Amino acid sequence: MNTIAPNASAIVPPRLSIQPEVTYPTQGKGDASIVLRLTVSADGAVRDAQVAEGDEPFASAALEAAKSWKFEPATRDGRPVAAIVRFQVSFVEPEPELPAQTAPDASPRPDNTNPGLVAVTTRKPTASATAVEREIDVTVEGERLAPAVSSFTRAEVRQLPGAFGDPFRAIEAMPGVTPIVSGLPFFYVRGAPPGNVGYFLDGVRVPYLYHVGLGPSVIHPAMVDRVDLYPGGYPARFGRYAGGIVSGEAAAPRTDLHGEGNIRLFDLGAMAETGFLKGRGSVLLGGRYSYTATLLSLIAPSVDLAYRDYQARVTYDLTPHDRITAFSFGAYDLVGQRSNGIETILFGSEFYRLDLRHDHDFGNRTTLRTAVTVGYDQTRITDRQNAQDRMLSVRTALRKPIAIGLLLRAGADVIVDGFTADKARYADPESPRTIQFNNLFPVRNDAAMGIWADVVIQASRSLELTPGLRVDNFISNGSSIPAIEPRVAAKYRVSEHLRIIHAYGVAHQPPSFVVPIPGLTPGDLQGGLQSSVQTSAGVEIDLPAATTATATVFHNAFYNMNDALGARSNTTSGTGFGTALTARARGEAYGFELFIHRQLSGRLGGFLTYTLSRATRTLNDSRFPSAFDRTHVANAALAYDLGRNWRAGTRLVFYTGTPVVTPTRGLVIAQPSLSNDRNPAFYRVDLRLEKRWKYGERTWVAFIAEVMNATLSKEIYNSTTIGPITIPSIGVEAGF
Amino acid sequence: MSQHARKQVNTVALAILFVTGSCLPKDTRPPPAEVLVQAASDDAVQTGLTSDDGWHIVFSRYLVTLGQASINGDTCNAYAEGDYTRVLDMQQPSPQKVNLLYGLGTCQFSFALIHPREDSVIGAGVTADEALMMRTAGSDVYTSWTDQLAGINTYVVGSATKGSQSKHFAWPFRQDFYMQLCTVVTDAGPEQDLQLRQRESLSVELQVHGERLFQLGPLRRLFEPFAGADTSYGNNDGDVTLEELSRVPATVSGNLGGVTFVDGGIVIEPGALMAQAQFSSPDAGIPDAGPALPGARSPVAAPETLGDFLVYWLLPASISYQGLGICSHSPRRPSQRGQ
Repeated sequence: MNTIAPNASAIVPPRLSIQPEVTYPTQGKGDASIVLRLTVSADGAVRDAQVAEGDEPFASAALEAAKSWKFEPATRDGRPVAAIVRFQVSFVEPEPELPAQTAPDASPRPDNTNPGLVAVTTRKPTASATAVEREIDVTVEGERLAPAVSSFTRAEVRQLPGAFGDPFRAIEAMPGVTPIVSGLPFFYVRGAPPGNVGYFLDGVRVPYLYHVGLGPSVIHPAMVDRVDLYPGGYPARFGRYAGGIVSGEAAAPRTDLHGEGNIRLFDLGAMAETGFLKGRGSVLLGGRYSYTATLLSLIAPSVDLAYRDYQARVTYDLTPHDRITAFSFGAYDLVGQRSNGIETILFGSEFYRLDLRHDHDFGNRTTLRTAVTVGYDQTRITDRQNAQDRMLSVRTALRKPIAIGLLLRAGADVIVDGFTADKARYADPESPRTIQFNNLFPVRNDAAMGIWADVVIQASRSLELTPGLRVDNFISNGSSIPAIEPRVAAKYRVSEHLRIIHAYGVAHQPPSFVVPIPGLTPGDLQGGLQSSVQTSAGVEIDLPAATTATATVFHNAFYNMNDALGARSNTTSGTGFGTALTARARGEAYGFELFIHRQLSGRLGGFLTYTLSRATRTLNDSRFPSAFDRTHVANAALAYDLGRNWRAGTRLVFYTGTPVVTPTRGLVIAQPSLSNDRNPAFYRVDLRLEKRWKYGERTWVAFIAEVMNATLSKEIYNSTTIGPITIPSIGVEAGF
Repeated sequence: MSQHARKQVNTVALAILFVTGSCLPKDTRPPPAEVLVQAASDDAVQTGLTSDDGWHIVFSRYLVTLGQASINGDTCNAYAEGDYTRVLDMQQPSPQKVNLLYGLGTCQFSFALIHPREDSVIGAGVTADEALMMRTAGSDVYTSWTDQLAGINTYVVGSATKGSQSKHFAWPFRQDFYMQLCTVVTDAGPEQDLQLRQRESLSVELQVHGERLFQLGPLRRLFEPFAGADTSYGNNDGDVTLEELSRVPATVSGNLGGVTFVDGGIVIEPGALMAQAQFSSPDAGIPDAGPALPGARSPVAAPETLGDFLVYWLLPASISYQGLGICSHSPRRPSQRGQ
């Protein structure tokens, strides 16, 4: 829960107590507007500053200056509280120097005439200042980021080469993430297979993240404020996945008219949002449409490839304490082939969600969210039955301080999935694959009920503990299995710049498919629940030059897991893929992660992630490396402001090879032997170049050229050469 | 329409969308033809045969794995193809189902003679142990041209007697074959095309001819060279093995690949049988078997031994299409389709 409509009488936003000094950057040109996201602590100091909007060189100038600002802290019912505030800094290009009789006041001047409205304008000393007013939301700090999480903001991901501006694509660069194949949107997270990683947007489960054909994510980037990856030990509010959690936070509603759009080689997209009824409500519409089908028809007339997605959100403040939100989003993908005038759908998938929620603010930092979600998923695969899932979910989440230094978070939810299927019209009923497919995904109703709670304990000024518990019960076709999941996380502040972070947890999940596909969830709880025990410990260090470094060691143990992709070796001879789909294995993953990070949206930004790990599987008493075990995985990205609104970036992706698994081709090997051979290592270089033009304070147009795998690198997997998978993108973006 | 009514309609439409709605297009393909692929055996498999050189040959076991049938062509639309194989006891009452296909248009038929996999359907009369035996990897001199282990696609067990002589054989054939360009000779000439029309039901019959395993020339079924492999080139223990057959030398003569056996062997005259065994050739559009390992001999080269001839030519040619029709066959590498 991010934002609740402020009650003007209960919440007072922070105010600048000391007039800030912000210097117009020497390399700056024109006017600029920078929006910062400032975390102002209860003592009025700026604890954290991030750029939410804006470009160089102004962004760095504003960011650097903001760290030294002093505020009168926000208050709630008269008590100082920490607050996150969006703060606008407007730079106005100075006029030509006037003759000596002109003596303007060069000091920047904030405008605090409107609560929640904070703006600073700054000019070169020879210019006069003009205050710029813009309504900005004030968020009283609610959900703090849990320990042991990796995050990227959208502003950063925009600059990440190879991500094409998509926050969810940044996941592959995060520590603990092991790719299956370069460019493919499926990955292992600390040894957990793709089917065990859950995707959420604002707490709503999303069946998959990316469109087919190496397409973009199914959520328009402008909708996403931040993406968090929980590789393990995640908060109690997340459950029903035994691997990692990818959680996207939607951008908070805004009532000022704004939007952006883009046209690229393969698709176009747009998003616009505005307020109504004098700011009591907001409405957002966004979407993306691909015209790949038209383009492909020029080079491959027989192939159809199409995708599109949409997002819509309406918020309305019933009272200063109550907000209702209707949030709908969905995606559609189709791969087909046309031959002799007959269209055959090779793969089609779609999902839709409608989330209706009510947020109530009781005061005293106590909030309650109640939400109902309906959803529809469908997948069609040629020669197989069509699978559908109609979903209904009800959830509630309470947040309540119960004492000084004690914050209770609790919730409950029920989700019902109605799975149906249409038999394949033209298929051999004796085909083992058809039979297995139908048995794996039977028609039935599934249900899951869960309650959870955790307590954030500020045990001392330095120590924060978060013990939690989650209890779920899974029901499918008459089978019912409960699951109990304790969780605990801790953050200890050794010094101002050094923190120790621990996270431990148990997680359970019903049987899962190889990769997440709408409507394709194995039924009947066949084989029981999958389980994992996740542990991690690390340190977080603030380094000079706004750089942070995190080093973590982790260990995950998996029990009764589905991993058709990874639980294969030369010793599992005779096990076809069909058996692998339902086989259950034990697993283990352990290793070390390093994450050094300087915001990419700065003048010079970059990050380095490195994972050293080993993932193993045990099947039929045979223990072997996971078929997708990669000892070393590294990402290094650099983004640089070249000046004159040019930005360039590059990213190097490197990982060592997986174990060589000789395909058994269905044969039974009498005396299989484990091979120590590894496939060759792989690397690729992504490039990004951007030129931006600005019109006024808020309108901009940018030309962006980006290439994923500019080196045209090929990947070798078990004697098969893959690729090069190279995605070029040239496009124009604009915003206002 | 009033604003209230409009809201109601929109609400209902939204609900409908989420309850029943879908943007994925329906299956609008016209109804296809149904093609039932079956396998049958000749009398030789069922009751045995007498060779032209006086040996009485009887099969006690004749297992064949067939499947992965497909239809293709420029004007062919395949709706569903055979994605599995079936282990067949060819001594069971015929015919037996192999695969069921659906398609429309003018199509060419192909299939595979290939070892069974985990999900292969076990036909009547075949035991699970036999299927497992055929799935168990091994190698022999005929599959050594690659470094891959191979299963068994055909398992033939039998005996031959002539007077007081008696020989026994148990042959596990490991070289898989891809059979395509299946052609039947009609009054109008060779015909490769299957005409598949909406809602029609067709059947394609594959016939296993046991006698062809010994057809060392047109209308010449001989067992003496096989017996000689054990007697003169083997250990004379009464078992004729494939390995012993690989020791019986042969040379190729004639434009149509007639085989001459030296050192007391037998002359195979070139004829229609050899013409039926068409080898992989870029000109024919048949998938090339690919290169053999260094030092190993390519299976598409001319036979050098009786064993070569049996494994690479006689076995695949023993399966006919639609009666007396033939299919071009090429040795199958593990990386080819369906693996």
